Amino acid sequence: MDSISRRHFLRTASIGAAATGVVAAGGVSLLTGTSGAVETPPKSTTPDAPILDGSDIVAHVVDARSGRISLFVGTKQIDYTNQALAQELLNASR
Amino acid sequence: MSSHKEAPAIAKDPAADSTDLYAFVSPDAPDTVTILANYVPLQDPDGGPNFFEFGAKTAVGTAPPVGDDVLYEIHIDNTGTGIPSITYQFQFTTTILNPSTFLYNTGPITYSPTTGYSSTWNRRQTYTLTMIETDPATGCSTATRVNPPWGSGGVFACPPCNVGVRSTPNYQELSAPAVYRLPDGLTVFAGQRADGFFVDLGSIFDLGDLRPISSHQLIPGANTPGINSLADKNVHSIALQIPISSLTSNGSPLAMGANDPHAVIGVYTTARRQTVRIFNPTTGATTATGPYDQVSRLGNPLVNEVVVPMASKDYFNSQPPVKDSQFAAAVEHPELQGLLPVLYPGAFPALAAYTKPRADLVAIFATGIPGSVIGPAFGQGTYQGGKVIAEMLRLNMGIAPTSADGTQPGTSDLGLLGNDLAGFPNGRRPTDDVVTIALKAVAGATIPLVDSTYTPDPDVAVVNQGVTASPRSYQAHFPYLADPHGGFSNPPATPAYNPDPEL
Repeated sequence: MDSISRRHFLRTASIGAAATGVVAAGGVSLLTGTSGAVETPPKSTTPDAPILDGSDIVAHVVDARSGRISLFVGTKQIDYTNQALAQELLNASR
Repeated sequence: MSSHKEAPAIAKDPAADSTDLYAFVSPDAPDTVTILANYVPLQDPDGGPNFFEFGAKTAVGTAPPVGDDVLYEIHIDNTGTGIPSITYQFQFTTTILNPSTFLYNTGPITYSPTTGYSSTWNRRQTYTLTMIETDPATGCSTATRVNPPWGSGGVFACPPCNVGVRSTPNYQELSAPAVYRLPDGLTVFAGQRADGFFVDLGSIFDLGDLRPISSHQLIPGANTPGINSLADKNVHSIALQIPISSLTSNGSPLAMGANDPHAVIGVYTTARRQTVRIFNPTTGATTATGPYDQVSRLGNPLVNEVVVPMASKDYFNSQPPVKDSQFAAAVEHPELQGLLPVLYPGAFPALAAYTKPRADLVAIFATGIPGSVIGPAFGQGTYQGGKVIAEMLRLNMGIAPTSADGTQPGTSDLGLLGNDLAGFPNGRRPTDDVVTIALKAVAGATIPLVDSTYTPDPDVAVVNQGVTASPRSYQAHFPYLADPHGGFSNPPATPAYNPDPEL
């Protein structure tokens, strides 16, 4: 390879250093798990849209009967109990 | 292997897979301790175009980083409680400068003291370092960001992978700037290195057919030297050199040497990933949310590899050392102890007849060896033996170093078994032959430390893997593991056509 083509290669390969952001859109994701049979996670019908700062929020229904739900947001896990919400999520997954 | 792909789940997640942990008093700076935590195993140096890196979120250009990452940690227990008082956290970010090329580098990568690494390095990594100090009694923690020499808020840079002589010429000039010596005496490095661990994988996992004594194996073969399976492999290393006075629980140097009550520390490393990972099929990107959960853990070599049963390995990786009493049975009655007399018929009759719990192995791996069983030079009466079952690599920082690269007189790659108190299981140096040490220990060599009625089988003396450390993998100064093997040279080419000085 002569010097001209080598320089051309290096110059060409360096073009386009301007950045283009590839940012995954934040959205609501739902994983359901029950104390009984494991359900296939449904496709969310909620359109992808930023929530809070754009990070994902995931609700894990740990036990639909007792209403135990774990929320995952940022670097936190928030555990709480809400039987009505758990049942509503379970219904939505059917 | 020491801990390369040692458990089913982590074998599928190389970026979070801890491979080896080393902790030793620095031979060229004996008022400091060096800790190396290695990740990303079995790197073929020519493995492009996506070369090897730490788990990290990725930023394209100046956009915010996205994706999922790994939180790497090095923990130090200086109170003998099994709970770390000091934790160093490393969190990496990958940056792609040029989104329009598939190339790792668009030309030779160079380094300038004024402008840093050249823009021809397209995919690069930086990291932040945070020190967390915890009161084991209360659980209260304080986090302090460790800043690079040029000021707060800055990030540390990793060196590039060693692609080859055209892409990464004069590699040492590229890796040296990634060693940061900080004002408080801390030295830090993170990046690709030659893998200093040495093991004959082919023989170990083919029913323990140790090549040097293969003629005595149940299915005999010819006796030959061992083969170092990792001789040409690279790894990613997180390296710290820390003043001893920063590691003692009283914040002071060791006035009484090995017998100082603050001389012993326990060290382990963990990798964590966030609880939930979500793949977005419309972008091809993965994001993560939730707390960082432990997915990999390493203290002593070979524990999760060949002591913990396969069905429990992933669980072991999720557990903190302070809960290790649940694994004690696997250490007290190791499966390998029962296998050796079967695999080598007639060679280990005393071992086959020994039915007591292996208190020697519990001490080596889980409590620390009481100094009283070795002698004053080992810190008699001060070693933290027996306080709590917690599998960690324990180091008496008051024992003078011999050598980290294995070249100094008095150094034995068999460590304590070779009358070299500065080696494994008193910490671990890169050149310690931990495979042979562990084989000899399980075969009964260390039972007399705790049971004077036991006489080891004579054949324990010939048990070895027949592999020696490759000098190419080490250097005599921090970070002690040598520059990584170059991609162009692996597999080796005809020297006449290869300008790589490695050949």
